[in-house]
Amino acid sequence: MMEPYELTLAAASSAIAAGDLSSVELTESVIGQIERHEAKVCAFATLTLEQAREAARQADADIAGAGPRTPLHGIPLGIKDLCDTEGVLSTSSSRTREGRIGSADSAVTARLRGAGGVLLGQTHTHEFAYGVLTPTTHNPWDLSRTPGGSSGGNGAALAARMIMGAVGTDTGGSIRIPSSVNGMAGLKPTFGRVSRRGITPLSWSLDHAGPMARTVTDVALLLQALAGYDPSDPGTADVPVPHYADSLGGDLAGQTLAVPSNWFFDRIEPDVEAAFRSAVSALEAAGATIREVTLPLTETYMAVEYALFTAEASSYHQEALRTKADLFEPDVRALLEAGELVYATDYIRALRARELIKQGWREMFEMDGIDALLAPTLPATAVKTNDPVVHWPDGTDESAIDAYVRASAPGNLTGLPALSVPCGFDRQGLPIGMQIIGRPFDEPGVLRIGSVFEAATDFANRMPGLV
Amino acid sequence: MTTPRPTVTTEMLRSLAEHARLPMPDDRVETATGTLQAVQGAIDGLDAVDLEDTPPATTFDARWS
Repeated sequence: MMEPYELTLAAASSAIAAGDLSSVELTESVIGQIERHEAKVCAFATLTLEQAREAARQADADIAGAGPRTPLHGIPLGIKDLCDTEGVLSTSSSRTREGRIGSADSAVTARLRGAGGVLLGQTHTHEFAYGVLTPTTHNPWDLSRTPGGSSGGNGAALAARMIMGAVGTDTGGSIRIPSSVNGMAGLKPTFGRVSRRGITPLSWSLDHAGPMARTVTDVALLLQALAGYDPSDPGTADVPVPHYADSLGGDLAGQTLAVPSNWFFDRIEPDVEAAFRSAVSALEAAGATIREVTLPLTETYMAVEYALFTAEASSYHQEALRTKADLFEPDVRALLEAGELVYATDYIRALRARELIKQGWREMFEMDGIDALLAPTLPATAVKTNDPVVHWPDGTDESAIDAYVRASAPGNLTGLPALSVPCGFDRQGLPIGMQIIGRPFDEPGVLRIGSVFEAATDFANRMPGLV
Repeated sequence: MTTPRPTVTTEMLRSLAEHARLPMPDDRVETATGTLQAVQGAIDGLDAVDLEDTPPATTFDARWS
């Protein structure tokens, strides 16, 4: 018989609504997973299990009286430690913030709490979200490998069934990277779709917050709670929020999906490319028309990404770098030092080039009549924690941060919605992801494509052997 | 931009850090030099782009609420 922790968020929500499962039963089942696996996986920076138990009891009382107020009511969730939670250690997984208690909920914490979510704790991030490895944490598919980052705690906790959904952030892939290497679904929404108030910034112009979960449906339910305009975050946009679950399912007849011929395939592991090509065929079989396109201005992607996030991160941490530099991890400190020395004119050149990238992608979508673009989420699966390098078949090496960010940066630079879904496993049994990049604020479109693919495959149902 | 940027040296790194009022202990110089070289090498991918009159992608909003 299936244990409650094995359910998807949507299935658990339905069971709670039908009276077949209580939030307390569900929460205790998930806490049992934490008790069995957290010592090995190390996904959490802070656990708030007693608060969670109380929230679950309250949820059951509320639901007994008036039914669930949202599909998240009574569901155990995780919050990336970059996001403040009132009264809870909120340290961005950094020794520079040891003992720091959140003074107020971040917007995303408040929204999940307001929707009735049961918050199990703060999940590890690569320090200040400034990296893609989350070295504190281990990948449940292979504990010797990275869970990705920077939202690596979310990815690992979801794969180990220690939470049912989570909120992460993505500046250079930090939702999609851990989603991909842990076999989960994750959506970097359109820039401006989700408020970042109360989230420690890495790069104001590239930071996005968004949902992570096991399935596309789960991601849609989380996004429903997270999305919306917030005047306190000048990056958010006052754009109506649709009902995302309505967009799920069906077929892809009439949809034109693009596959780039360049950039994503310059260097890619053969198993990853094979899984991706197979996924494209599955979408074609579901009715989509597949069209090959050439991405514009690819020579600028890493230049703009690095110029923007290094300069902005160093601005934010400027004082800390002068007062407690020794408390930063060496990799983060090195990037902060380098960012101090990026010229303002180079930074502004990057902002101007970003505008050209936006225009180039708009022309590509509009001239070619594209509904969404498909690409491998990453060119490689999870690297070894003690060797964070991708070793290419041609004998060359590429740092994991460069390899992972290379595939992720277009989504951040364009601000377009980008959903990562599991699309296979390599011959070592490590998960592979496909990203679906849509038009501005067309989260319904990318979720629909992802849901159709998910329905045609079983990748989202697989569990690591650890679990 | 057609003039290639010179390779970052440890001496150059020390001068740049001093001008930025950034303390740079001796044991940090080598790492910082390599990281700055990598970052600037990436940024120099912009050299080949003709930006013409393109404005920056900024989001200043003069409204008060």
